[in-house]
Amino acid sequence: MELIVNRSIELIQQFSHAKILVIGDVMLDCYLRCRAIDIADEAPVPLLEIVEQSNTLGGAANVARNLACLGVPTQLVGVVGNDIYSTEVTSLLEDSGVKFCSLPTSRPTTRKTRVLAGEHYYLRLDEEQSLGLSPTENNSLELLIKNQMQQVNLVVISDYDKGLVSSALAQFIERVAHQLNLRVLADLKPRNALHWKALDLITPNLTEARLLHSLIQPRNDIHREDATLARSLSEILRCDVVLKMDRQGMLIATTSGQISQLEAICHSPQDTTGAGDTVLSTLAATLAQGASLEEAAWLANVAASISVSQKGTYAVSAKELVEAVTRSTELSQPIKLT
Amino acid sequence: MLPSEIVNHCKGQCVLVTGDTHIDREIYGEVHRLAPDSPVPILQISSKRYIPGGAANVARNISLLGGTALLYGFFEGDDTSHEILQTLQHDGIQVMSSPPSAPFRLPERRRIFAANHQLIQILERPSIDNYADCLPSLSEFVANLQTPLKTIVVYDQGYGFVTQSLLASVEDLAKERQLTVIIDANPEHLTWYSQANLFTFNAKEILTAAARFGKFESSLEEAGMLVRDQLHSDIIVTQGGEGMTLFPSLGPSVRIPADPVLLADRAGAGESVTAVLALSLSAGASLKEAAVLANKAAAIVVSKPGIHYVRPEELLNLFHPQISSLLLESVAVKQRLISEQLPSIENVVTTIIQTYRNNKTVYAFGNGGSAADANHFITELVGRFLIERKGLPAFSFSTNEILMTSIANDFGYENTFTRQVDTFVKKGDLVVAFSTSGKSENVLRALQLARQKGATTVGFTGSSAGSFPGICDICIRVPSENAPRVQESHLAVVHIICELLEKELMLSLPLNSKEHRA
Repeated sequence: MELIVNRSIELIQQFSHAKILVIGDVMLDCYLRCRAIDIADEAPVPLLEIVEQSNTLGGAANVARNLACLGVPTQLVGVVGNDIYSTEVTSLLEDSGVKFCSLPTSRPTTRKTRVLAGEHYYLRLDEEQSLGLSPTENNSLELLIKNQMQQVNLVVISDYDKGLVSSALAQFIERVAHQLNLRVLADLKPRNALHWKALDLITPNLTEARLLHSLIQPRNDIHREDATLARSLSEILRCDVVLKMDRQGMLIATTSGQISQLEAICHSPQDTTGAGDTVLSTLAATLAQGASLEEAAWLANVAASISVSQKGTYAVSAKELVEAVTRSTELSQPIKLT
Repeated sequence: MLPSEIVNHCKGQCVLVTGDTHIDREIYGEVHRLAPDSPVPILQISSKRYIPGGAANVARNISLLGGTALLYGFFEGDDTSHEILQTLQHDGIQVMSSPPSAPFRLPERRRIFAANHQLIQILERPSIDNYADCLPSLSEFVANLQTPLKTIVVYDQGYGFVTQSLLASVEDLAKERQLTVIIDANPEHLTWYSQANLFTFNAKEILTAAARFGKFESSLEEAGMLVRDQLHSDIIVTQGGEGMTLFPSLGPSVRIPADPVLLADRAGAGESVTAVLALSLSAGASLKEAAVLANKAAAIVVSKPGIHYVRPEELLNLFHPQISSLLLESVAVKQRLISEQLPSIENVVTTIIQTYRNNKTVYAFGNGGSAADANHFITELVGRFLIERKGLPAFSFSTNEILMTSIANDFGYENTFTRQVDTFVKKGDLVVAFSTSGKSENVLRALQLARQKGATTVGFTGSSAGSFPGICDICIRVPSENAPRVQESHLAVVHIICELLEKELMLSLPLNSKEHRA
């Protein structure tokens, strides 16, 4: 136990030594905190008045923020619209210390607005245009990505199926990654996972993993045991898999056929929003130091426990992570399943 | 004053509007799933639109009704408000706006729809404290006015633009220039208001206002009377689907029931009412006359989806109902014509073209109004319709009154056209007969004979069609039993046929090829 604690602290202290590039769907999460003031005049619906508005980074931008918060020099490539929300995204990223290489497009900045009346979550408004980019936009994007990839040690893909990462772009990234000998980690929507041929690690949750499995092996029974599911995905896709299972913790399946499980540390989570991004960024930050997947997953599990104990989307800092690791005498050891 | 006089007098009346302006934004989308983190619907936004609301909307209504509107107090803080400002100026409204650099934004009211179902309204009310510092004073704004100002409207939604000091300057200006003051009142500001010519409230607001004067749980009538006495002014209470009630400062209240209409969208009706009241009073209408007209305007607005602006002709329509309904009847017949007769009309065009390509002749006839239609048709062919060209061989049997009366006298009226058909029509010619009933004996006989002689027969008739379908190769049946409506459509179809065949003949095979092509 002490060994893993010391090793982890050493790894966290080296976070600032690697450079990571995040590519993916940049989003803005808006929160409209309202109070209900009346019934509307012309229709029998509530009239809410906005009390407070706040914005946080979402999607790939949140992964980048998490990395930067962990102390990793981070670059982000993504598209935004030509609107006031892109200004907000840019300034939030700047505040987080992320170097943002944005490609302005004609479509609106992808935005999710949550309407809350008091403590009551009322409605979500999504504004996006998830059609693919134009050929010109794609060319500029490839140029931008290639340029950025030459400056980093590891690439993270955060794809929310908003039209940025096409099959062609995935192949382009893999080609460049192969030339530069870069590892590529990805959090993907299942149907887009098939764009990729040579990923190093994917981090699906249970629902995504089942869907993904049914997409690649339609006739196979998807109600299989979680460990078998993780192993099967790893075998078919020839990449490591970290399967996120909420309160059940996570399962790690490596290409060498090893399966291990980490139990969840926080037993009364407050808010799981954004915890997936924390896991992905901690894995990336740790793997970029040359750590093993087991070490990386152990740290990611600790980071996730901090994230879910906080309300809202939370980015864990290196300092918090060190503290949590130091306090971690009762933390779980990986359980080897095979 | 007659209502139509008021509407006509509204044109050019100058009204100053001030008070709360907001952005009215409609957000439309589809709901297909629930949010993963909580069981609430996710609305995927598909479209948005916005229009000026509140005071700016009153000004816009005034302008689109033909009046001159001035708007005092507007904040240009972002792209949307900039566009709204341009719309207002485009409508000819003179706007006193804060400079774009001023730290103020317009309030915004968002109405959110899933398909056509309204889910929720969200109001955003930015702080506009000390706004007055960035605007010139009201008296400066109207100092160099060209048109004589008659009325001021204060639109008070409680968003912060209407302050005691604004109300004081309105009062000063009104005194100085003898202006009518109308206040679209906010029950929370009763203590700020001094006497005005007219206050308007909606049903909910008047009850709140009565409660502010210490009378709780009153009826609308009691509340209106109380507020009227307290404010020493005329009061109008708008009651949505129930019309409005007028509380004149002296005398009993007057109920004005709403016109029964199918409710489509109530948004913007309040602003239209205020605009019509302001213009009508400026035009010299009495309070009751103005209220009746405003009530009609409201009925028009709520019967249209989205936010609708009443136009003067819509109001005039209401006061000339027979004329407008007869015109609408004529329109309706033509609409049915579109859904039923397009292939037949096309068929007539191609048949006539074929007749001319075979160097044959077109003949037409009918009785009375139908004779006029036949002559009209022939005239377009022999003369010209829209394009400069040579005449097309065509002849009407309804033209020669000497011949017609002679045949009628000697052979009987039923033979007026047969005699001519017998004399002129040859195999391959085309005969066009007009009869709204399809029963005129002389027309039927002539068609019969023309057919025997190997001519193609075309009939223009009404929905009953008489014996036409049996003896006409092609029959245009206007879907109406009403002779005048049928004849109006006949003329429309004649014009369409002429336009199409003229184009086709000019484009393809000219009749006397070389000269025509040049």
